[in-house]
Amino acid sequence: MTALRVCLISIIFTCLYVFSTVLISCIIMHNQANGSFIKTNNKIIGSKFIGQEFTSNKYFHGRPSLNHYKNDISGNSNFPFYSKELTENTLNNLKKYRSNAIDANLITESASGLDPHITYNGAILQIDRIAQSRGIAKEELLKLINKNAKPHIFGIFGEKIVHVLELNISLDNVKM
Amino acid sequence: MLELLFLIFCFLLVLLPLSIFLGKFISTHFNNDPNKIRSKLEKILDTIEKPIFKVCGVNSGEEMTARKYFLSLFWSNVLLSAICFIILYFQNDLPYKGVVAWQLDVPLIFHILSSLITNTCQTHHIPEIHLTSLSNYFVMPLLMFYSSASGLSTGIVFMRALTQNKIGNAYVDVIKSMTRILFPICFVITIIFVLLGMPNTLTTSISYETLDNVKQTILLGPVASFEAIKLFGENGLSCFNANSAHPFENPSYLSNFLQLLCISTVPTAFIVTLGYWLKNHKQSMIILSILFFVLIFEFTVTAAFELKGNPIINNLIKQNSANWTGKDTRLGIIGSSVFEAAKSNLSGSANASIESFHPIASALALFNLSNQSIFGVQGFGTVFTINFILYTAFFIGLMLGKTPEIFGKRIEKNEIILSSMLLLINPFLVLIGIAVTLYLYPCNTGDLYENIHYYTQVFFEFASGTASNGSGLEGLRDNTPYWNLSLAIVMFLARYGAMASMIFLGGSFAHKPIVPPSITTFRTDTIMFAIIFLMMSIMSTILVYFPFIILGPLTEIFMSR
Repeated sequence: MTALRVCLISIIFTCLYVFSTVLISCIIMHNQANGSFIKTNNKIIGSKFIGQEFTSNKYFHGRPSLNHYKNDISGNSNFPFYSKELTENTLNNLKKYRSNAIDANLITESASGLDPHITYNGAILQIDRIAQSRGIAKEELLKLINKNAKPHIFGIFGEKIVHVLELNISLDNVKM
Repeated sequence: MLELLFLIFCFLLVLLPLSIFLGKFISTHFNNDPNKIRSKLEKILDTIEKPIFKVCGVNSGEEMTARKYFLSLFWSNVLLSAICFIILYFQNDLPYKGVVAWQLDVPLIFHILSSLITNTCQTHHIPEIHLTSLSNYFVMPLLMFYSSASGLSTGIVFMRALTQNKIGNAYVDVIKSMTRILFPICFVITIIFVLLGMPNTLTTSISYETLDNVKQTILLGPVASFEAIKLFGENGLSCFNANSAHPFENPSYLSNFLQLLCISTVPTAFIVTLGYWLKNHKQSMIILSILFFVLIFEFTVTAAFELKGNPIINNLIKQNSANWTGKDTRLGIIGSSVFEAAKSNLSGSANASIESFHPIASALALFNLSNQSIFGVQGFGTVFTINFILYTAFFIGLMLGKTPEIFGKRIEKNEIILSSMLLLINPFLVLIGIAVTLYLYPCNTGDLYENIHYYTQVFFEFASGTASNGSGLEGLRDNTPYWNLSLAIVMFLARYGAMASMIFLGGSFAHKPIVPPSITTFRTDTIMFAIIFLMMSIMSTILVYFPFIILGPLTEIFMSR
């Protein structure tokens, strides 16, 4: 009987825990707690943390994703290190880009399938395509990337990364 | 490599003070000595807990026998699973459904419950598809809290019996570890996680049109509160399929670092607690330094192979690039590799696909899963560490021709039987599991590499199930009735078999007097002992598992040359 009561108490505790944390975080940090959405003209166009699929030539593209950035199932294909599937998949992703000298980051799947970032080099490699389709000078694009790039944390931790959605939003704001 | 060096430095710099503080806290608050001087905080907490004990009908002064302690933990775990079984089975008829309504089949429910209540948290289901928001964000944390508290109590009762000759009361320990450790600390961690960008809301989904005119639906929920217990309780279950790789579960490099801290605080603190209870801090420092040595070695090896990259892909793109397959950009190569090396020791939450790592990562992981004593899972890992110390002390005693003893207590027949059981449960379940599975479901492709990789996947699945770890090579299609039922049984036997041996081992030590060390005692707090301990721990794992590790990931490496 004691065991049952202890179980019930822990059920009550857990519910209290979840509700109280939700309440506090929604009051103090309303934006973060609700998914950090990015709005333009009062319309939600994405979340700061969730990547989006870009297919048209006028935008910077993100990394390949198993489920095409759908949120129903996150995750990746889990290709083994030496497997044939990995090679085939990488070759397939490589076709999209004109040159073979490309950052491995751009042609391999991310872990979550929702990776919102690409590396700085990956963004630089896409400049040619966007300059052609939009008619913007390459120097202008380079400046834009540099403005949006996040450097290494304290100069050592992490990679030099670019947020694809933010970069594309600022790309849309450039006056032609 | 500079990044790795600084990361390890920061990791130790933050972890050590935190765990020393927590270790001291545990050592005073879980001390059952009636004559101890209680601090102000403890008196306040005692008065808060009194009504809870009264409601539960727990007599907080009652001293249990080892048998009763184990049975109380066991039955309360089973009872909670039964309650949750009903909720999961009827999840479609309950409110707060979210976007999905899926009728779970019984083998899958058995697997979910068995993996959660045993602190394994192996994921065969896909949370986004199979679970409603109620099951995902309320039932799962509940089970994680309870299994984590049971693990903590097991570790605490073992150390308490060994050092203080007391066993204590199971319900008191479970409730105390929830009210004094898990809930308050998880609460703080939740707030920090929300600050870093994790959502924590009751909204279940939001749809919108993206910049490139695609409709995208984002699933939401109380993610931060889920993450806190997932990591601090060392459970490792995910509320999204991608686990800690999902940007909502791990929004930035800093959150990744915090998650690393969360999973390693409790096991480190437990060893500090042992030092306090033995009144011998040198002992805990020696154990900790050995464990950190192994852990940092594994960090370095994993990171080095990932930085070198995949030769096949590097050949395609004609330049040297690190291995980015199955890693998220914001976490980076080092952040992912370090977490991946730590998770096979500690928790099982993944922030990258371990299958896409160099096979050396799987080999190290399999070693850790078989060994279990390098920090290990909540509570249990510490007992495994002490068990290896016991073994080392036993062998040294035999070699020197003295009565073997550990921390001033004699090791006799009963203790050796129980501690051998603890060592042998896992190989027994793992190896029989592999044999049966490969007999029933052999790999059907003719390709040798795929055959070997399939073997590695099967091995990994059973090893992580028995080690209460729960990570896995997810390329295995494992949501089938066979996999669900077999692993449910294996996890259940491994966890409660180990729990029983641990508590009975503690109980058998609790009746022995502590002999003060004399000049002839072989001391367990010397560097010499530490080195022998490391060797024993590695050797005994290698003796059991080396042929099987060779057959799996190491063959993959040699084949591709």
